[in-house]
Amino acid sequence: MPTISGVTQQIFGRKPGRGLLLTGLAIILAFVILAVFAPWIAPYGPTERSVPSSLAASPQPPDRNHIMGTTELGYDVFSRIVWGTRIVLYVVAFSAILSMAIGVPLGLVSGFYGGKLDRILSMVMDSIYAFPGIVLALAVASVLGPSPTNAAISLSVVYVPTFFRMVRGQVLEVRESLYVEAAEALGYPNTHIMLYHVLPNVAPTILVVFGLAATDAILTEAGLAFFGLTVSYPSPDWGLDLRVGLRYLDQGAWWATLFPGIVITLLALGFALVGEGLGERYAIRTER
Amino acid sequence: MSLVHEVIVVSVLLSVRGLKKYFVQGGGILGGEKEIVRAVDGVSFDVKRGETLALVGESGCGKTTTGRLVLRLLEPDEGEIIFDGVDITHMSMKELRPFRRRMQMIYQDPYASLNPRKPIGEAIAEPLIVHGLAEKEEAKEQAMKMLERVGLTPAEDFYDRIPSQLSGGQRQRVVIARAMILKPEFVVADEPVSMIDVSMRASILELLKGFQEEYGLAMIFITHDLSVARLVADKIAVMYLGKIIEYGPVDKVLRDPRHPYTAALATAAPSITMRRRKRLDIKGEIADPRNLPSGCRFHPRCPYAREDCASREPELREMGDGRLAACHYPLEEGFLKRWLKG
Amino acid sequence: MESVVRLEDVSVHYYTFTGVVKAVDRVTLDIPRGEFVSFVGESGSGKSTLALALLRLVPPPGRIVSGRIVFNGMDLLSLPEQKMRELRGKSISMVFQDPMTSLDPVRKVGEQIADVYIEHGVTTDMEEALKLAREALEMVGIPGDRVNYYPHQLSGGQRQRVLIAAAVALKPSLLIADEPTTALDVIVQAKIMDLLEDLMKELKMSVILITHDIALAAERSDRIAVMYAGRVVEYGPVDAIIENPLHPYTRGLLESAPDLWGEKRIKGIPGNPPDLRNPPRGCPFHPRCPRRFDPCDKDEPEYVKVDDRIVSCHLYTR
Repeated sequence: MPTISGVTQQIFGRKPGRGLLLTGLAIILAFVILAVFAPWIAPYGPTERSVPSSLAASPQPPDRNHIMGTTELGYDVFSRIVWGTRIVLYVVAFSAILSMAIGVPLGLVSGFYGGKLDRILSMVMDSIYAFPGIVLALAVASVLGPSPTNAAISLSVVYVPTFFRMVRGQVLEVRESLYVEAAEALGYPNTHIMLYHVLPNVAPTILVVFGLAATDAILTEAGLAFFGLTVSYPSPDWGLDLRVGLRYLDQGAWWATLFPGIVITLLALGFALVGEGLGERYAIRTER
Repeated sequence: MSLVHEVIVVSVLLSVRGLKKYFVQGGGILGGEKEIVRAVDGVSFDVKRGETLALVGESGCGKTTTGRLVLRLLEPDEGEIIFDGVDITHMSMKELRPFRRRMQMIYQDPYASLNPRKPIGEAIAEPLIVHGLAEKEEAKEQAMKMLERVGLTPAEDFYDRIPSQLSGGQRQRVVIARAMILKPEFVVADEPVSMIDVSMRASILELLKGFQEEYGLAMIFITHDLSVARLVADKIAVMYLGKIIEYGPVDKVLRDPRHPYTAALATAAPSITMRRRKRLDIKGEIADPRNLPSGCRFHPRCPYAREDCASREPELREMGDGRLAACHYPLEEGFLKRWLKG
Repeated sequence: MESVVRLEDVSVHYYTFTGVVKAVDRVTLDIPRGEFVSFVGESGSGKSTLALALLRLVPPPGRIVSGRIVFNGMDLLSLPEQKMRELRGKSISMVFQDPMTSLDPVRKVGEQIADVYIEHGVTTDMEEALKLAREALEMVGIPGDRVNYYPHQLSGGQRQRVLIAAAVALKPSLLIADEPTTALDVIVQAKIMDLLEDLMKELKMSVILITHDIALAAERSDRIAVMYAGRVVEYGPVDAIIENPLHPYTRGLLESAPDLWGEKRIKGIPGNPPDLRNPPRGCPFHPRCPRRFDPCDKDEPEYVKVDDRIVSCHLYTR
């Protein structure tokens, strides 16, 4: 069993990729704190009219009470970003975990046993993989209908092949290693070898892919939100706010698009850094 | 059913007859000639309980492939492998499982043959649990004892370490411990000390010898190093291009070889006590196994080859002193002694 | 005695994530001109790092942190990089362990040898360079028409010969061979070592052989330097070292080597090699030494001259 100190050593120890990993984790942690403590951090509710109704017809620029300005309906941009973190993290985490839960076992079995099953699975996964992610996600989400959970499911469809391909590739490599032959020589059954000797050795790859998929998922989620496929306005979601803000950009209301844009990029950067850091640490090359 | 139990002392534990393994290379989508590599090409030998047979030869001679074949880690193309009177040549993986307990492998590269993420104590305990010989606690206890036994003391300090936290010699001790915890009857040790630092080889060989005596282990010891073979083996089989070319008691073969190739190997090996010795030089390098020479496979390199060596393939035959050689014109008895005197 | 290389207090450290590794630790010795000198040691003894230091090719995170390497009167460590580059391959050459990875698989071996002549400005004409390459191949016992072969068309021993041909193409005064035969079989090994000896005489070179095999070193060298934990623990003429090893590690190493013609048992040295990030106090060998006494775990032994040998051991410091 990995001990607590073992895990902290893994993350904080002086090893390659430490800087990237720590920065990435700090960014993600910051957003998690925003999401969890939203009621205390956000000065207003997400759909609370926070300015006098006389001013509510047009977006107001940042001032002392509204550090990121307000929207045309008088919503506080900063508060909406804080509340919106909940939706974004939910969709991203759900989709990354779901695609991992499906892609990893399939890749493991496919790479380990090979044969017909492997060929069929590879073909299916490759054809899904060939679609541009955002197009595929949009198509699936439109069929399923708008909701955060449906958005997460449609994102999973995009990332299952990513997990599958990377895990399968690694399994093929590990399968050739001497310690797997040694396990066979010791008379271990296949399932045992797969779970206790192959899986632990592809685990770092899975973490790296998790980082990459999550990064991509944030951007794609913003895309889905942009088209109203996660929540419906006025519920807060960064991608949706971006689109609504866009309408007022020509009136000079830059704050309603800039700040949602920044947080989307920042959170994506956080996951990307974690992925890169892990990749550097375990010397894993990723094909994208 | 008879009430009288007959005690049959079967001293031969492993018997290999006419073993062959061919690999096919090339012939892919891009075309290209299909080439057949005759890695092991008709090998026969017996190993008795408690006895060590050294398989020696240069790289590409088929010694490692032979070792993996007898353990059924590779599928043989021809021949039979009889283990303790049972033909295991064509058994399914499932049927083999009880036999896997009784035969083990020790690899050249201890680091590569250990799961890099598995604590070594667990790696040693694992065979007991998987084969249903012990519960977790009991297995751990036995693994602890095994760690002590192979000199990784104190065992509690070593149990949770992963392979990268050990030295090469210590890793090989782990590999040996893992193989020995099932109390096997037979082990294939493939160059077990060639990647170990010189100063630690003695202790590793000592360890193997200890287990051999305790369990009455039969052992195939694969090595390219004749001087190591001499230390550990009772019998020796010298391989060349997939065939055994000389076989017999180790001292006889190494001190008084009858095959010119054995003599060449023996005089080429660096030695501290015989620094200025006369070498028996042979031409060129080992032939391409995809394109074997006709007749005797060794004839293009042999300093004593005669015309018919290129057309007739020699069989392994009795030399009249309990040793076999595959040569039409074997060296005379006492050749090497006279050669070294000059 | 004139020396081709003199090492003075040379240290090489690797700055890794987990600490500083003292791969070579204050090595001082003279390599006489025209001799065959072997550096013998086990893994982690620093022998390969020392060879790289001689060419100033220690890869990062390693660095030569101190000392002087005097080669033909010049201190290599204070030469500008440009000058050092000219020396490499011309005055000091190196042959590595694995002939397959040192050769470019998609270029003909003749061209790869011809490169040496062109890079060092012997000629600018490829035709001329290829002619020289042909001669170089013949010098190492490969028929000249094989200039047009690709590496994969040659056997392991022939590939090593090609590398040796490239290394001696410009008749260097020092050839460093780092485990040149470890990947080869014994019969080929013997012939490659013969070739090195012949070239040494023919070209009046000095040869430094880096090896883990003390028997190979004993057969071929004039002098042996035994390394342990980054230190040269004993250095002297081969006969003296083989017949009467002074350092307990040298003795242990000799008794550890199985010998086809010697005793039918080997002894070995108890314990494990030291962790160079955290070497033992005093003499680095003391935890494994059968003859350790009072000062061994406290003070590091200085180099002592005993007859024509130097040894670093407290048994001889007083």
